[in-house]
Amino acid sequence: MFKVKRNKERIHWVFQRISGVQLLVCFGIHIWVFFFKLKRPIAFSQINQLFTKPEWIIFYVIFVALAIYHAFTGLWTVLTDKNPSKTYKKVWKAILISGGIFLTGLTLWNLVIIGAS
Amino acid sequence: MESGYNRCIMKRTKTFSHYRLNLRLGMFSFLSHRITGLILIIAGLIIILSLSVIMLGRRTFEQMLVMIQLPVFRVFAHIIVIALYWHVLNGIKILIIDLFKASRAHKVLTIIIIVIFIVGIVAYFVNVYPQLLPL
Repeated sequence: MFKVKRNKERIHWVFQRISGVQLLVCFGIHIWVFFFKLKRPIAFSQINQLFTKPEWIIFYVIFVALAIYHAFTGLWTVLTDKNPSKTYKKVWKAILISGGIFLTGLTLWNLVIIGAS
Repeated sequence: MESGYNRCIMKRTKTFSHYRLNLRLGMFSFLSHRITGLILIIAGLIIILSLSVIMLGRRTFEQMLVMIQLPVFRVFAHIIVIALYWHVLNGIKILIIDLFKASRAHKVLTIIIIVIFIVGIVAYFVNVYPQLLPL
């Protein structure tokens, strides 16, 4: 269906579509967990119990990483819509990549702390 | 040979081309996808950063969970749901157009997703606030 050439922009374009579909699946699981698995109103003990299991930490870190990738690729498209200068692109690329890594790391760290509390 | 009318149209288009948007269904779809995407990025950042409250201790996190139940945050949650629902539907439409080269059917697809969106949002609010129903 697609002929993916070695073009970074095109690869990101294809992966943004793929990550969108994956996010849809992950979001479905998230809804199931928070609206059907956990009892309402949600208490800390329930969230703590959920994140004592490493599989849920792995799932949520993948979910957040995918969401960040999808969001920041979209943001990159918006920011570079009018073909700005190379310096502008470089600065934004650095901000988005470092921001994405920081946010994914922060999520992992927070979930581990919640599980350990 | 250009008629006077054509020359007038060309002049107007040239004058306004820098800031006039083509407000048709396609442009509405494109703009709404971007706006909802930006809303979701801001909401996602707030959610990820609010999780960091756990670093201040278990009790602070529990207080945050109670605070989330306030009406202000319910409005915030509804905005997220509406933006997310529209973004997902529009994203599926874009995927269909990309995969099946159905750009000619984009108007029909947009109308279909608008109908699905309205039905879904009404169902969501009826589910969240059943007291709103007249029955």
